Amino acid sequence: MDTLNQLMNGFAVAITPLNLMWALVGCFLGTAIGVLPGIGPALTVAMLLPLTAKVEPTAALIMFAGIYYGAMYGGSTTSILMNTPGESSTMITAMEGNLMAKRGRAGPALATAAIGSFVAGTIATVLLSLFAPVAADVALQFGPGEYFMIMLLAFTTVSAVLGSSLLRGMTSLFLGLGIGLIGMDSLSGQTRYTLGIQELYDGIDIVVVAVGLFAVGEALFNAFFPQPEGTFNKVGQVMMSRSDWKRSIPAWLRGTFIGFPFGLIPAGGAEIPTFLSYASEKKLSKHPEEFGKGAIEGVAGPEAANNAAVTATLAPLLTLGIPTSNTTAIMLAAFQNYNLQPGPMLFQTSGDLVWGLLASLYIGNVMLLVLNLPAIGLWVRMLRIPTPLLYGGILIFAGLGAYGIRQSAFDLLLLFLIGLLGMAMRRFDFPTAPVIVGMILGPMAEKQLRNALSISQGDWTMFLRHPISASILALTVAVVVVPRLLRWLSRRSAMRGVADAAN
Amino acid sequence: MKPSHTAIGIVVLLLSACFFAGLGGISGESGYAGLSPRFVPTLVGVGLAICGALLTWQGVRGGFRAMPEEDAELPSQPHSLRGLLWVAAGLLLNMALIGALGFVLASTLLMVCVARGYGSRRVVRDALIGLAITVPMWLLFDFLLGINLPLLPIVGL
Repeated sequence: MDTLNQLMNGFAVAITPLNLMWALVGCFLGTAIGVLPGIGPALTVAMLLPLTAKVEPTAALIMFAGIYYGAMYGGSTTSILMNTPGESSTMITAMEGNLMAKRGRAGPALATAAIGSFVAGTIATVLLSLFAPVAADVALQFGPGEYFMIMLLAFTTVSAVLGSSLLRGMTSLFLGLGIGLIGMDSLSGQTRYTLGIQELYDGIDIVVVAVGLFAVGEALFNAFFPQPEGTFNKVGQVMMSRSDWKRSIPAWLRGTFIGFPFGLIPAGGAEIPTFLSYASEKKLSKHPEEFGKGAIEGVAGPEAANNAAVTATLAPLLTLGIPTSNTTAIMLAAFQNYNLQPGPMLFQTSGDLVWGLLASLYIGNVMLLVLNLPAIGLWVRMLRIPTPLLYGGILIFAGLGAYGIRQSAFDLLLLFLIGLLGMAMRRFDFPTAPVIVGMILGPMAEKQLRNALSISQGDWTMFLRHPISASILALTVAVVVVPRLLRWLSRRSAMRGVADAAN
Repeated sequence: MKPSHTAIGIVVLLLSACFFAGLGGISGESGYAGLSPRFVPTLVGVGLAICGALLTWQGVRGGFRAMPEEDAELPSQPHSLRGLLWVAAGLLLNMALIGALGFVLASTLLMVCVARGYGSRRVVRDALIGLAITVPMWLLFDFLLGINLPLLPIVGL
């Protein structure tokens, strides 16, 4: 009951007219920028971060929640209409939804994605309010050793699971860790790798790196490799038919319950559940032949899974202070702007703020559905902006995002250099998410490691002697080894099968 | 042997060397933990060295593994160095001039360069659209959010 009371207090905070307005502004801006092709929620939040510099923390985070949801809705709209996913977790939606759009079923595809996101977001927010405080209690049992192990698990899963190659993922991760070293060491106050440049003493801002890698890198890449003009699809009938509803509802629910647990674990990410949901929908569908040609379950399930997972990623962010997605990584940066350290204590020290944020998630969800279902036609018109103006606009906002941090032209130089890096990474298929994760979690992991070893007087075996940290370590090893072992075994048995057939 | 992939491996190796070279400049005690501020930089250097070596080896042995299919077609696809240079010039000009011309004019110039890089020839239209984005943004920052972006610093505004 205590939780419910606190949540009601949260609603009291979120429903003040001013905070409602911030939620609405956030939803609107988030959708407006998220709908631009190739721009994912992380970039949207990063770009709009400076906007909140003068807003008090509660209102800023409420606005963020709106931007976050808005960017996801906007992103799925673009994915379906133009097949340009802004991030890896909308890849499946883009794939199957765009096939539906090509068959003249863009309307139902957009509708099932929007309503599915709403259903999944609502259920996931309820679950989050119920489980986040429990997770915070569990997190209080964790010491620096356990935190270090969780971060190690996050490093490993992010670089092993994202992207197609472990080696390139690890290279990206070490690059991010290296960038994270630049600046002042939080424990000793030593400056590292600043080359005597004063602007580097505070480290490189995460917003500059994120915007540089995603937006500037993408703009440079597409200028070098001109893409053929995209063909625009007619939206046509917006309403879903009776059979669309019948096929969508179970897919939404299954997607939600696949997605939520993946977001909760501090090394989740939203890509894996979308793949799992697509696979299970294909297996369970009465129309498996439609998959790969535009099956509505193939949009409904993965989109719900994505939304449930990203909502659940707020749990590790709020209770453990661990960002498990690009967007939550940037939200963590926003928390730090306000000298708030997310973690188990946040629920006690800033309870109002946390519950206000959770309550505004409910409100954001409703607001988005109301805002987006009728506005689909309008967003489609926004996509008709010609490419030259589109990328010009994107780079103006990117420059504003970087310059707005501390009004230094040096940040614009960094933005350009990191943009070149992003272009090269895009060209040679190096995943960018591990760079961001390494850069943000690296300094935190170093601090926890040194604290943990200080407590144990330099004894490394403590990681194995504490049951929680030992089990997380085992899980980390399993994440890397098991899929490779399975692949090796199946390849071996396939080869043996071929050999048998030859005999 | 794939020259571009081999070169990337070597760049990563050089980067690793940079991290080792910088170690000397970091002082600090190791304390109770037995770990000095040099520990993680060493780890990053070693990690990059291993990754760089493996990437170079893959590059020499025919290219990176598990590349997406589109990668093979990219080099033969039409590409535009002029487009890239225009966009890069826009970004660098924006950086160089934002201190003198202010956000509104420097960003409008950025818009014109980027649009040119993407094949637009209508300079006046692009500039007007640039102004239509930057002026409201400047107003929003200046009046609504109280962040003072310089309008035209060179004449003291």
